[in-house]
Amino acid sequence: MIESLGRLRKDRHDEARAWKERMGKKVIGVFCCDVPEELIYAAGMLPVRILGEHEEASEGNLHFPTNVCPYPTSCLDQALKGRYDYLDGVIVPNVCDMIRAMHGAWKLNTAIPNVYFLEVPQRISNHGVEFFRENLARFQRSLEEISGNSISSESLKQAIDVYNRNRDLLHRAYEMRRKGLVSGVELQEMVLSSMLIPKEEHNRLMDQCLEEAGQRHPAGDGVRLFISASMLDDTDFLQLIEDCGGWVIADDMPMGSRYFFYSVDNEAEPLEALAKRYLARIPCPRKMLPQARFEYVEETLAGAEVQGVIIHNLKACDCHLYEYPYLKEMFEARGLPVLFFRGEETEAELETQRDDIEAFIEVLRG
Amino acid sequence: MIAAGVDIGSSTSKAVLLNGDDILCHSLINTGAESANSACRTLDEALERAKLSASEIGYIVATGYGRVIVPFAQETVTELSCHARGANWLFPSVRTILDMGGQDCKAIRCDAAGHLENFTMNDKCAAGTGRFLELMARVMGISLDEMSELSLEAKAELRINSTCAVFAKSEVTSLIREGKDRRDVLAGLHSAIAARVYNLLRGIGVEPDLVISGGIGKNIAVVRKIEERVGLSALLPEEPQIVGALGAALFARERIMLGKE
Amino acid sequence: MVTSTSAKKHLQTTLEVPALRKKYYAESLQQGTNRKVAWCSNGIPSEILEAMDINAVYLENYATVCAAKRLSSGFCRAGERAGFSQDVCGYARILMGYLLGGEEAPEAPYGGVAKPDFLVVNSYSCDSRMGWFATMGRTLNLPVYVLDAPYQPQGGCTEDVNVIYSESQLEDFVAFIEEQTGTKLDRDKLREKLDLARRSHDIQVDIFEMRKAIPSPMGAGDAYTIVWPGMYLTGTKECDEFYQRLHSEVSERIEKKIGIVPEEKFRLLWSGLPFWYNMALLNYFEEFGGVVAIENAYFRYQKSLPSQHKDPIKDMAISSTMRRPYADDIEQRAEITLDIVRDYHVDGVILAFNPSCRLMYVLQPELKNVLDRHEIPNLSIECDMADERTYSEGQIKTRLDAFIERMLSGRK
Repeated sequence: MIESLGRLRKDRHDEARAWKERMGKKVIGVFCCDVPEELIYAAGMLPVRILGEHEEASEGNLHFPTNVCPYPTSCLDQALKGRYDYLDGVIVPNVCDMIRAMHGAWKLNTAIPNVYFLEVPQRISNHGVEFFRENLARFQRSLEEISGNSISSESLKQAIDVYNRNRDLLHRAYEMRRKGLVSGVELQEMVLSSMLIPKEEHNRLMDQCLEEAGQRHPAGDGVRLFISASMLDDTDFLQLIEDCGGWVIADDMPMGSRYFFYSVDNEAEPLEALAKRYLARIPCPRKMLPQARFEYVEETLAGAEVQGVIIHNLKACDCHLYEYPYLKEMFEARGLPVLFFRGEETEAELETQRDDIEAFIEVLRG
Repeated sequence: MIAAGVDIGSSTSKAVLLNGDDILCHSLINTGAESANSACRTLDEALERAKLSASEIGYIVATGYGRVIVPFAQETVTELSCHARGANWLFPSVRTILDMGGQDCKAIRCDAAGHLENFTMNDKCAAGTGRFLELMARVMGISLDEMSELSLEAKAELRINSTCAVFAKSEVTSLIREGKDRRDVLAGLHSAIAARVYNLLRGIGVEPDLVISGGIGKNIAVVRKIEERVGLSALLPEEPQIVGALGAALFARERIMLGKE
Repeated sequence: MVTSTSAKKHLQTTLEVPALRKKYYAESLQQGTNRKVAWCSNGIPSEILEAMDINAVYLENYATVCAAKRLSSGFCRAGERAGFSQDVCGYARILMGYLLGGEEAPEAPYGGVAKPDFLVVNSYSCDSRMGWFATMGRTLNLPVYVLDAPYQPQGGCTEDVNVIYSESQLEDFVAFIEEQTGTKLDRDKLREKLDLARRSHDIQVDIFEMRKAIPSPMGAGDAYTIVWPGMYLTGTKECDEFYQRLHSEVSERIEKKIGIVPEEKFRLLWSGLPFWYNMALLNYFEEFGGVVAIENAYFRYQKSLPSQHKDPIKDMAISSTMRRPYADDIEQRAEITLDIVRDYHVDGVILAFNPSCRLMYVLQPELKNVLDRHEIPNLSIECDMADERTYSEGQIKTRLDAFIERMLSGRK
């Protein structure tokens, strides 16, 4: 079961196309953790996270320079190569310079309809919540138009329930990973697949996975590591770490804890609840000021007896690069050595990274 | 009245002497450390070959990386314009030129009269340059001349993943150490180079006819891979390294005709 | 050893700016403890700071001063040694070098800048500034206020929701400063500053409009200097009077058909930031009859709206919702660029790729694609706008020369 999660990610385009055909419903592409997928789900559509590929972005490079964060260029490249032709819309939130640029890039260069820009405040405040809530209402109306369905308060609450359940399940997997019952790669596959298939289906899958994992014996003697990453849209890097004898037991990554760590308060009015959670509880350094970020990292680290830290930032990501010296300082103050990688999202770099990781793990071991 | 063009590149320096429509001769030497000095040497060598003296030259145009410090040139014109003009003289149907030099790689578009229309250059990294091939030849323990020959014998093509020369070097070294057939590795390398230069060409669009100039133009294996990528047959000058100097000489000839002495 | 690389100025009024700038920094430094000092990013509304008598230091400008005085290498190296990657904004590295470089940093121009009491940064330009200011706040142990506003990729709009949010953020900003200074904002004073600032701005718009003339009465070499008072002396009489003088000078030049070069052969648009350590490049084309007639980085083309509300804060919120200061979305930027090419009779576009100014950098390739589609000749040159170590004279000059050859070849 856990192996098949990887399949869902690798075959995501075929899977999405098949779902569209089977259900006669629409698929909406999503960038970043900041988009309240619950709204898309409540409209009866399937939200899918846009992922890049480790192939040369030959088409994408005609629209973006090469020494910027490679992830969005890779995503555009996929769209230009026709891999995302099945999308009925794409949601671009106000996150960072490169992601924002996706809005114009997809509109000008692809035939994908409904390229929607979601305003997201860049500062956490009460007025911000109100502004965001208004924008979510606007977003809701657009989704209703695209889907042809209306989204009732009830259906939204129900969607939030399903999503919260998924978050709980992923939390349980997070705990199990700390105990060595789930590997780092497996958890990342769980998160990635959660971003790609219908949530209620994923909940069922997670139930099965957790049961299967519960039957396992805790893994032995991997060197216990914490991973902080700006964007890892596949499991190659974590797989490399595990191949080298590392055991990822806690993380701060968008395709990891950042996606599911905080739940939506379903007691409140649903749009307000979504606004609160998605504004204040997405621990991305773009918006969250350092103090809050470090508090978050402490939370994800809590209870995990970690021996070392690996930080992987895609190149030219200002948001993460400014934070890096202080994050490093914070870890080193706790006696945790830090290994830093500047990633380029290529296959070739994995080989050179292997040497560094092996050496790091050797040092930590003895 | 003789028109002279000198092209001072970072690796090699070339000179072409023109009398009317006749190329009297050309010269080609290694630039070495001093550009001004090599400019003199290359012109001297050409004069010697043609059995002429400097006083018979009506006008000299310098081009290339070292053009601004050529002491005896009356004028400088960039290698972009010179390659357009030179290629056009050799092949009037040319509209796109790919010049793969010692240390840089240029893609040039020109019009029917050989005027420069658009261009893009890669002078920041080794991709598509002679320097890269020299490095790889050293790594594989073969000569530059052998590279093309061996590559054409390849039965299979091994994929080289690295886009950067630094990484490519270690990748190739590993493959050789693993016992992979040199010919297959070379085929992969040449393919990787073709992929890099194709990206460069895409920046300005490829319009037929395509001319490939520069030292690497002599490596038929690379030329074939590029042709495959682009989907066009390339026109190849007999002396691919002197196209720039020829263009400079043509500019000089123009000045003579306009009465500028 | 360090040769002057500043741009040649063709207008008399431009020559007043260096003295104004020197005075501004000197006064700022002298006033130290008399007034509260705010370290600001470009885009923080200086009218409010003026009205509250805040000693505002705009860091990006100071970074360009360091670059223009050929000190960027030293400061950047110091900043990088303090842990800041070469990938991040050149201005930030210069300032971090200034802050943390200690003995290893070069001597600071103008004797340095006044030490801050607090920091204010706007969120809606680029990512880098937020991280940079947060870092400085942490280093200096000072509060950082983030002024947010709606992003509005499509430009201006009249959405109430956006106005309400803009207003709330401006009010929060005012409240923050009131807390820091212990004084209340005098709204009448702000109204005064705002009206004056708008008048200066409108005179600038007229001047930019006049630059459509052939021959060009004022090129980029002057333009990058004359925008300075409008950005940093906003709302002052000094600023207003400066632009009135400039307006007269430009009008006179147009009347007398005084251009920048004896015979104008081609007109260029400079897209992106200039290389602050080598502004002389803007004059490079003049030898060949070329002028950089216009630039798009600080392009002033929209007159101020009439006052939208009695209360100056509400007025600012409504106006800034209807008129965005920056065109950050590629569609907007492409449209404006095509308009500029048409209206300013531009023959070719220089696309400056400044890798560490990510905001502008990421959009340049697409802008190039748009220009290519419209068959507008363009040249791409890549250098950091602040870090002069990235500048390679041979490589840049070859490209410029070839482009000039191209521009001239149509004119035989």
